[in-house]
Amino acid sequence: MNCAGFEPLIALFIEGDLRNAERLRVETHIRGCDACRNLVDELRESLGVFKDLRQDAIQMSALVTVRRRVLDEVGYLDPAPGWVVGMHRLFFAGLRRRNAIAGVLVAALISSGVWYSQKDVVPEVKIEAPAEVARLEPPAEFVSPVRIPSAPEVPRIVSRTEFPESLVEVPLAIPAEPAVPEPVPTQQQASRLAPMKFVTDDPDIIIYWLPTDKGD
Amino acid sequence: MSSRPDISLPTNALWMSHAEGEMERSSEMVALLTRAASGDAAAFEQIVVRHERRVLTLSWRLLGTMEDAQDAAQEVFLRTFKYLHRFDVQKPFEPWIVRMTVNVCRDLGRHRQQRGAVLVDAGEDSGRTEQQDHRNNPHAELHAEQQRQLLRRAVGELPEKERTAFVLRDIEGMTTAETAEALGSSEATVRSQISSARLKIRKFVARINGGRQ
Repeated sequence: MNCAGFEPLIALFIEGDLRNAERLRVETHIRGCDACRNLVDELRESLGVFKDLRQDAIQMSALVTVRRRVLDEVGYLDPAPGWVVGMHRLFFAGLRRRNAIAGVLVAALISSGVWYSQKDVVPEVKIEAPAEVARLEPPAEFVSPVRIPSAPEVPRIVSRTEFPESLVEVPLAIPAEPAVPEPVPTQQQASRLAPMKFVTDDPDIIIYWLPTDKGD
Repeated sequence: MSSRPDISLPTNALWMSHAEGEMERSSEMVALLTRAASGDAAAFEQIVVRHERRVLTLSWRLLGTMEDAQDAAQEVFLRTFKYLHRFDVQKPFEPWIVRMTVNVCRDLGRHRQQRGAVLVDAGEDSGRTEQQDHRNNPHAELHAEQQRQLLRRAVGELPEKERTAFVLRDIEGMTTAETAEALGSSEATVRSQISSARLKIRKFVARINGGRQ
């Protein structure tokens, strides 16, 4: 910090208005700086004259004039009624007026906030069964409402050629396997595999679910 | 004649008497304030007599002329009478009346500034008595008086807030904490104002002295 930066601190240093750390910094700087030492002397000298001004006294006549004027005026004034004094002491109880008023306002704000928040709360909440939005019922017999058009008849072009007899493979004789009856799905599997019909609230929208073998 | 006084007692006795005196003064003041708040004019007169010197001196230092200071002091005591019921008698009375004096002088000073009055030019004022006796050395008396005039002018050049803080701290001799309480601001603010005021006064004096040389 240069000397200009020290000037405000020196102005406080001369009357002991600095904290210890700042005072030590200023003292260290002053020891090595003649200009700042001169500043200290100048400030102390001018403050010394101001301290002399404390000795100036007011003439008695000036005091008497003020006293006479005040007492004359007070004679025309009515003091505060006793009940006002009592109420003031009761309500403000030694607090500064603005602090007491601020406290009352804050308390009023808080209580009105609490009251307002309590007013919006619904006292009793009835829990009802949720409205049925979808009904799942497997149809007894699935009839697809979507008509899937059959594949168009495309003329097949087949070139018929005569295969030579030598190229004709003769199928090997495969022993006949015993006929295995196809597994009949159980009732549960059948219902699982059966397509499902979802009826929504909108009568125009019906959702069909066609499960695969894997149940997807 | 031969009996020696007990030297251990007087110290304690002095301390006790001082403390008791303070308490007695304090309780007496509480009684006066209570009576004055209920409209007792004699009690209020006692309060005025006790504090008029302090109020008038401070007003004079803040406003600069005795005429304005008397107006301010009158207003301070009238407000005191009017609002005394708001004062908590258990608290010290002097800071309260000092704060009121500062506020009244601030209002009056603004009014006077609008009127174009010059602040702090009390040298020619007749309300002050000379305390220092320089009759043996007229030259020294003249020099001292010139210096005081110069410093008063320097104080008058300060901005209002700095001037008030400076007067309370450096002329009235209040502590920084008392000054802050009287001004209703923080000690840090008061320190900053005082520092700035001291440096400005020093610059003002240097400029005037440099101009004279």
